[in-house]
Amino acid sequence: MSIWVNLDLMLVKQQMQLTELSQRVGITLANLSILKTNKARAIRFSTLDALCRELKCQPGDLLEYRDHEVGQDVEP
Amino acid sequence: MSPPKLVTARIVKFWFDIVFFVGLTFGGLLALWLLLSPLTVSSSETPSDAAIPVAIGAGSIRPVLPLDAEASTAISNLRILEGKGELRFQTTSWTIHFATNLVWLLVIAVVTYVVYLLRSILRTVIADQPFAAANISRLRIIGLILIGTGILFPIVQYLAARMVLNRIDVQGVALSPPLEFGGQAILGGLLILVLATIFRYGTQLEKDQSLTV
Repeated sequence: MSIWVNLDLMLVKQQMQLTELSQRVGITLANLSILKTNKARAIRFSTLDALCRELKCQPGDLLEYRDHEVGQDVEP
Repeated sequence: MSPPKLVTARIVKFWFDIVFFVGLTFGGLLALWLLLSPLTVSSSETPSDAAIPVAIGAGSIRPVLPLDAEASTAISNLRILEGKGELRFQTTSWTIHFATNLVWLLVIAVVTYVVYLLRSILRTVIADQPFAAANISRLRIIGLILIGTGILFPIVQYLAARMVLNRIDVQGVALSPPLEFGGQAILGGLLILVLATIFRYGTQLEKDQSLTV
């Protein structure tokens, strides 16, 4: 997948733990881990809405398109 | 309380468990007997019963027996088509015994394995993971086994019957080894292969769903 979720970066910027974000947005820690490790296949608008609200950012700050590099895992 | 579909799956699995373990015990004993009985026959020199499927008339796929009968001028060309039955006899030959027992050995092995696969599928249903990737290959194996039995069993029966009929000369009536492929088993196998393909799609959807946040 070429779409990367910069959840780590946004958490650092907001100085927030994943557990705290999980409680604030009402998404399980397991699902947030799927997002964080770029294993997610799709993301709901409602999830994106909640994440942008709590992390005080834009969808573009969270999602990033990266071209495949040689030797990079295509399907995480 | 479990949902009704899980209760049904549990009941079906319970019956499959009984069929599997009883079948495994008796099937194992029967298989042992089928394997050993030809040897005991040859060592004791006492003839014992054996049977083969036969067709009355000439031709294996569509046997025809012309009848030499007197009829009115309006009726002629009398013949019996696809007359099939079982030829029972006694023999001391262990090869004949083994050949006639071979089909039953294959039936026991196939039924036991298919029930084992069905139990495994039901176990995933009870665990609420029916779209497990392993179930696709299980279904595909069941489908291929059904198609295989629909083709292989009649061939084994045909060869066994042919082997026996080559050794005997029945007077007055022509007997042929019948060759009738299991159309229902082949059709059932094809349906299960289609089901396996649909299951693959379901598994993909399930994975997409579980990885949607």
